[in-house]
Amino acid sequence: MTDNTHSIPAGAPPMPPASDAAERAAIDQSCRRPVLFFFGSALFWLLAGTFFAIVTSIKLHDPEFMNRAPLPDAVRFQTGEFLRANPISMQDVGFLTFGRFRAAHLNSVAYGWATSAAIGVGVWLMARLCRVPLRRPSLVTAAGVLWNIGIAIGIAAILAGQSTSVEWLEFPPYAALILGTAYAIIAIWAVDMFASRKPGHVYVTLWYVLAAFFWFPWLYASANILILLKPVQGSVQAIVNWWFGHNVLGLWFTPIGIGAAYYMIPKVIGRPIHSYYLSAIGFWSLALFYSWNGGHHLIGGPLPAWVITASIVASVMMVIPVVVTAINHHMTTRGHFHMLRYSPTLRFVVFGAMCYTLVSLQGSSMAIRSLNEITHFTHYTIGHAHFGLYAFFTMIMFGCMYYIVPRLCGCEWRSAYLIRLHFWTAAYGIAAMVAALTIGGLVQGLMLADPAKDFLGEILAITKPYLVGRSLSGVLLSIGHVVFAYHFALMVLQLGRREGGPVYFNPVEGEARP
Amino acid sequence: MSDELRPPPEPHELDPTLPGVDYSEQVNVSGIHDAVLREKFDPREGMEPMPIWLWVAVALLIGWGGWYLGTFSGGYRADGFDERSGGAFLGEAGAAQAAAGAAAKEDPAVAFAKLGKRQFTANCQSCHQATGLGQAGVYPPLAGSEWVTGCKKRVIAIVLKGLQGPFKVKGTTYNNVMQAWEPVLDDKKIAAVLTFVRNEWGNQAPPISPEEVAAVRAEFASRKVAWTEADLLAIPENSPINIVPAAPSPANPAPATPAPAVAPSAQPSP
Repeated sequence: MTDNTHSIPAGAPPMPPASDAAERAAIDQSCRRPVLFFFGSALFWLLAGTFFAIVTSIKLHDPEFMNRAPLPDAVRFQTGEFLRANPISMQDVGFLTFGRFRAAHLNSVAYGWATSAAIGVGVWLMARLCRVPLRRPSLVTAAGVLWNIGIAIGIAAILAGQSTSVEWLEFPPYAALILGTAYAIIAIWAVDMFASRKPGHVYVTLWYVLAAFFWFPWLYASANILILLKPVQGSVQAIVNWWFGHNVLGLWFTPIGIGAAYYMIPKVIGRPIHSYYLSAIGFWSLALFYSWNGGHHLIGGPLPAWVITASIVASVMMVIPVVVTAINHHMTTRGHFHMLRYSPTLRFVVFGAMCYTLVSLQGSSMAIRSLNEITHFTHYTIGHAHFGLYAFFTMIMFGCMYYIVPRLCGCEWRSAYLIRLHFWTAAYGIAAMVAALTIGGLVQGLMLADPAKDFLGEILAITKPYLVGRSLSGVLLSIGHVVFAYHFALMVLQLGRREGGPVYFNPVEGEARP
Repeated sequence: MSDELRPPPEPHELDPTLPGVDYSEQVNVSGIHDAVLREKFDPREGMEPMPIWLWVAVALLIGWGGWYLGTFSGGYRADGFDERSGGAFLGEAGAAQAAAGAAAKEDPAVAFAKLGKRQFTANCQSCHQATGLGQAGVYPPLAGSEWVTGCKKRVIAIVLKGLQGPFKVKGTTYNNVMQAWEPVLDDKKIAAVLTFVRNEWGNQAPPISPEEVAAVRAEFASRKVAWTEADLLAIPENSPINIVPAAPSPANPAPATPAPAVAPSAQPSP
């Protein structure tokens, strides 16, 4: 079977009189409004989240930044005299405090940016792989509007001081209820969409997307009920919290990210994915092992040892789906790596897929007790989180958007320069951030493990340059985000190019055309 | 190879009769947008087998997982907080150590008292009752009993060997038989239950340590019958208990890393 034959399953109804391309065009057309709405709102929250992030990051090494009440001199601050002398300072600065901005950052990028982008990409992938135009597109758009209302209310509530202070669930229940409703609509829609697909083989991307659409509402509802609405008692809350917090990454962002890579890599390269068997093993081992992972955040906590050990074992077992998926992606791309020079989609997606392998192996190692005792509660963990959610997931989402948006808007990306700028700010920015936080975190962790070290005098002083480095890398990322949002706005406003073919990173010569 | 890199030949014509699609919205009304036309086929899956080395690696990894889970799970106990203890939170040896430490400091530890209370509930309560008042005319009270709060050696001896015949407690004579607990309970449990009854229901008396029980057990090792009141009274009141210095306990391992919450309330049940 050559790569250029398109098999129609036996027994399938005859194709409509239009070609495959017409079918895809019809699907893209039906996706246009909902998907562009999700992408646009995702980028809005990305910019908002980036603003919160920069302020939060600067506050870590310069606590007076954006503080209405100027702090006294550093010595008084370090001896704690500051808090005694300024008992009202926290109320005084209100919504500008680190505690609120940090939660606002996390929630706007996790739910506002990443989840909206994931829904947009997931909706488009479902329509493409079910090979039918989007069913009830206005329902999807309505869910998107509701979703954004929920995020806006939630962020406002956090800034107003109504955070629940449960990590990953900071939105107060009334905002969570709106989000849950919006998501439930998407989930039911996804099942409906899947049920109405054209008969034939269900491609691996569709497994991941459908599973993710099914898993997330279950996770979100369970965690909100068990922690906020009808709280379970004692340390069980902690395990529920991390079961949720880790599964948002593992059973929501990861399947969408990997699923998108499984679509985009073979699609752009134009050859089948390497192995169906590896796809299947990767999918089911992810589903089997990931939901146990959260407990490794509680090493040293007051939970029975076997709970944490089971979680550590499952975290290490994550090597299986990760390596299997990495082999599958690598063998598919093998022989076509030159295309990374040209195709923006492929470069972003392959960058993300490679980072998925790296960040997951790092995550497995971090679950081991002896390393965790050093790295936990340090900047190392923050570096890992950004490695995963940005270098892996966000980069793949960018790559997908570069592929999808021209098809929805009917025009080409305006400028290869802007795409290059976006890619290199994002790639260098996240690399610098991960490096700064990882090294800084290791130094911090080793010093914290030494009781002779003075926290305020020595450890803070040593980690401060790494935090400044992180802020600078954040500025790089912000530039990329603004550039991409501007480019996206041009596309939505129909200001993209009408002719001249696709936008490549580099001039394409001869046979190398992707 | 080069064929793969080119977009597959596909028709460029759009069927305008295609139902349900409003192409008037699309910019390029004369046809499908170029991006869609140059698209490659939707991805499919190859059927390469999983390499053998990967199977082996997966098998090894799962084997390691099983070993790790079995080794570091604290015996799968709800109160096993230390993954290296292989079971109990403190272990039997740790509990004995805690009990001995508590007795040596003359300060009845909460854990020791709980052990004593459990022993009382399991062994003594059916006769002496939870109130410690016994049953009038049948079983003597422990609450306020001069035997319980009095001479250590005598009360230890009673629990070890049991009683028979008429026996006067708080001015009332009881005629019954008490079981010998020597073969049933070890020194620590006897010490714990005695410490418990000597400090419950308003009783107030110094605690009794496992070493004292061991010493009394050794002193009367040759006696095979239960005490009568007369025999007991032959033991001089408050005569000293000669504690033989015990050989260092063979298993005395404090957990390598103290568990975070070494609350004595989590003693292993007997």
